[in-house]
Amino acid sequence: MSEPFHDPAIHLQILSRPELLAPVRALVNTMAAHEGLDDLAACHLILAMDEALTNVIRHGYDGDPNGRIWIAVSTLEDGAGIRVVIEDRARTVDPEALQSRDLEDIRPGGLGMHLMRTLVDRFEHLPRTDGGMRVVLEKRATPQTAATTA
Amino acid sequence: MARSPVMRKTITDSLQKKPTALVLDLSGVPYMDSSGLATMVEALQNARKGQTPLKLCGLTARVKSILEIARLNTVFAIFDTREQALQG
Repeated sequence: MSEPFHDPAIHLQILSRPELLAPVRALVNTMAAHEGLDDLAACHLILAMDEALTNVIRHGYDGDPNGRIWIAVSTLEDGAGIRVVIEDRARTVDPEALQSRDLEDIRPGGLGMHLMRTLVDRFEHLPRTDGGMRVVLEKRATPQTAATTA
Repeated sequence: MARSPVMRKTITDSLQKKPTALVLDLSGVPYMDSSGLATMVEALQNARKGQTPLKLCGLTARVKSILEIARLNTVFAIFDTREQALQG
């Protein structure tokens, strides 16, 4: 594996538009592969990030396409994974109020929080002190993956 | 999220033709978010209302993993290939 990215490797500012999520996914996917995450681990990180960004667009900015979202992607301090931090200036949401549906209750929707909590090794969803929300997602490379890519 | 409306319309149009079964070949789908999952669940519910069997095939490892995490892998009839889905 080549030299790890410096921390933070990527800072992005995007508008709150769904069509901008695909290039962000591609960028993080490339970085995840560079940092030794296997394909499924990269997929899980990207999906968790996607859910967080979708929440900001749909619920934080209520579909306003001109909201600002900031995304920082970095290597974990021990070099064994990726951290994605998402910040917005949308309305503040009480994280406790966001609940996933019962997984046994099969109906469309309500899976976003479950996916974010399940797919990554660390998930934080907190109000920012000066408004908006901050989501932190961390995904670690599995030992097997790290050994393979070392 | 961006492509789910297209997927929803395609499935809805197909179900309105009242086929004997509907097979969704997902081999060309490398990724699915919760919006895509919601579309799939909605499709399943609509298929059941019309008594049309809905079958999935050609799942990539990524999509299969996402269905498992959402615990939807036991809800859908999943086949490896299109041929198996058509025969199953």
